[in-house]
Amino acid sequence: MRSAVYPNSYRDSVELMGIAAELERLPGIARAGLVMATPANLAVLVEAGLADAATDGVRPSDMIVAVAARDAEAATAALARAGELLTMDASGGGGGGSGEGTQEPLPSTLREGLRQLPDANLALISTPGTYATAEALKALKHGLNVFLFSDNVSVDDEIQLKGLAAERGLLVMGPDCGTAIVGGIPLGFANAVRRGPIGIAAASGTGLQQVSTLVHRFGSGISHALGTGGRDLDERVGGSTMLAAIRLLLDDPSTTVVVLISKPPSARVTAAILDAVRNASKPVVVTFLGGDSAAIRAAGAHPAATFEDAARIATRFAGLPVAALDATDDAATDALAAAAARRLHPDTTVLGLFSGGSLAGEAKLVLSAALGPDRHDRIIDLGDDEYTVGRPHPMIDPRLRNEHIVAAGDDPSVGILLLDVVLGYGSNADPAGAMAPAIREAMARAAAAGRHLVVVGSVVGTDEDPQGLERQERALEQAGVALEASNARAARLAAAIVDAARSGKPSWHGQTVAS
Amino acid sequence: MIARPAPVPAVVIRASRMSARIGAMFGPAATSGTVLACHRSALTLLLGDDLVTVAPDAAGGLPDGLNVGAIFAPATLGIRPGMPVVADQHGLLIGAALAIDVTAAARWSPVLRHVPVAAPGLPVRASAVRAAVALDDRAFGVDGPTSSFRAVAAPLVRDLAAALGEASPDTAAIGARLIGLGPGLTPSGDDVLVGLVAALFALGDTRAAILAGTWATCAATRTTPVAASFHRHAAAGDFAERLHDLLGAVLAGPPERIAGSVHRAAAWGATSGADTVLGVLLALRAAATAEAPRQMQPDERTAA
Repeated sequence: MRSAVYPNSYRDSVELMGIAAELERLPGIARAGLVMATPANLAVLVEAGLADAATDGVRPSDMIVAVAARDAEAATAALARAGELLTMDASGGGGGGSGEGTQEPLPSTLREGLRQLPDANLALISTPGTYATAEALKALKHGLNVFLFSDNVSVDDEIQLKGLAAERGLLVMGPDCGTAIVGGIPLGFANAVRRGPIGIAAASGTGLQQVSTLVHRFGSGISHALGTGGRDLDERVGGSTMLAAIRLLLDDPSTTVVVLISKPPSARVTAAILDAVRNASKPVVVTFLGGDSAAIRAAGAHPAATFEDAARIATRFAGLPVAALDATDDAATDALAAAAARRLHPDTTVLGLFSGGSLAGEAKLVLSAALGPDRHDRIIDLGDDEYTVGRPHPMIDPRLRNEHIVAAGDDPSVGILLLDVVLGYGSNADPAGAMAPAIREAMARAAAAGRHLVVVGSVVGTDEDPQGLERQERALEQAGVALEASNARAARLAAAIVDAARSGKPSWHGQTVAS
Repeated sequence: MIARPAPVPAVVIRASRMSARIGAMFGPAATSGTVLACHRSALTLLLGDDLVTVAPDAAGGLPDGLNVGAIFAPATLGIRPGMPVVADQHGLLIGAALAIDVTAAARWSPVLRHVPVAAPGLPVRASAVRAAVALDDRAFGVDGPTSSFRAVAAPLVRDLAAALGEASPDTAAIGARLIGLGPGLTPSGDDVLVGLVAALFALGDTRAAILAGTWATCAATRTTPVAASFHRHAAAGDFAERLHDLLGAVLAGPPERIAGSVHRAAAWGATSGADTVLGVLLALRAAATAEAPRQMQPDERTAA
């Protein structure tokens, strides 16, 4: 056990927790804490064995870093690392010094940034929408491509930006673009995927994530995954970025297969996109969710009804055998769902609670195709603006979705809960762990009311993601979730359970299950 | 524009809004001080004996604060702890790095007024807050060594809840055990107490000023300067705009939006929001419990 005191040190709580978390990941460190040295906190640290009683002279305005370690060497190393982290941050050093810090200020303008990084060719812009257009214009005028994470950019500004980009041979991904992978570098909410020959252009963040992670799991990899922003295929914008991305990927030597992902654009924009891929020198796979397959085939491209289909077809075109998606225990899942179908009333409905808008859209299509119209199933995209005003996106913060999950346990009309869990950079550090208690609570509430609640889901991610696909799937299975390997499969499973429940004749994957 | 003798500051920005409480600081006679802390998007300044916070608009009004627009990244302006600060009738001059012009800043009152409780009444509203808090259990931190603080804080919070509910004369002493306890630049226990007194003020509970004053006195030597400053402001009935909004929503807004308001408030900082919400909940539950007997018929009261 060792501790160090930093006099007159003020760091915000988020920063302190982050440093503590990093120290606890160091070898030989059992526990670490950074707290202000108030009398109450000192008493707790001493009681917990994280500090000794010899803390005379410390004041509440001082910060104490305390570690419990395997040995003195580990403790010393951890405290040294804490010192580095505390002085490294641009907020300044741990001590109340003279203010003469030796650290050079970070660049505060694009021009200063370019002086430090003259070969930069992309600017990632995440400012309030009011300022985003000006910053994007500056970037384009300096010859930079733009990843525009900001939303609340007007359509007129978007048209202006994309017009300037087109003149200069540059790409504007966005506005409201949350996901991309450029040259193997993830931007925004992206997953850790293998590099490979498949390029993606997507007007759909979670669609991009589903396809890229499935490509990885099928054994292939991604050259670039370019996001266009949510409004690019709007009639007024005309698919400007999608068209530019198609040209880039068709010209890119590291890309041998191109995948396009979006909801169905307008007829005019669809025609422009299909014209761009007509007679392309590389196979082009097109997923316009719910779109016209015949038009896609007529353009010489390859329609895919679901994100999984797109990933599978693209992997085959890449010349690789498609690896089986066998991460989940199919037998256990089948048995769980078959048994569940027998315990649901015939009028049971599906409630989908999604963090990804495109995943919600895909699920809706699959359910509708399988179960027909005139149903009361609800598929809710909790990432939609109406749910995210003033609060983080559900991929980051699961609390709002957890609230809905628990409420589903009290709803007698809901027999099947359908969920997506999205991993990757930017997402919650442990989404499955965060959701599991709510899932258990919902099931318990349903059981207490004499009902059964089946929870079906899928995890979008890879084992290289920070959260770890296998770890996340295991946590969900332990919570009682029937997992499928893709969002489309999960929606089909939900539809099959409904079908079995309403027909009274349980059947599974086309086979009759003995009742 | 601010007229200053050389050197001219590198950056000049305008304050959009300022707490009415700190207006007196910006008079003809200059006050000097230092930068106490430089955070990612905020500054804490020590001017005389008072703390002043400089924060972006999104932080909302602060009892000791200036809001300076949508984006504020003081570290990128080269501001460091210990830099000299001067306040005068024009605003703030921070080293040679930054000048903040307050001459056109709108004044904002941090005084929290009584909020009449709207239908369906306090018990239902308190239950809604409780249900939302149960799904957002981050008060006193949830991970790692801060779990030691949760273990210590839990019985203290229970004792405080009981004392409040019983209108015990020991409430102040019991609450004082939370001062300085917990993680954060404003330790969790202090956030709980500030949330609690804010709710009492909003409910028009006469204990608010007495408890707040007692805790402010204790806090002067037992917690961080920032938390002690919050207690001082609380004793004067001054609270952050976020708390005004939360209490307005919880006590008088549409009941179906209570959960959303609680979740948004709980998202402040690492645990500050969750801690503050816990304090609000303690006050609401005590008030709801006190209200319940008054709703009984006379013969029922006799029977009880």
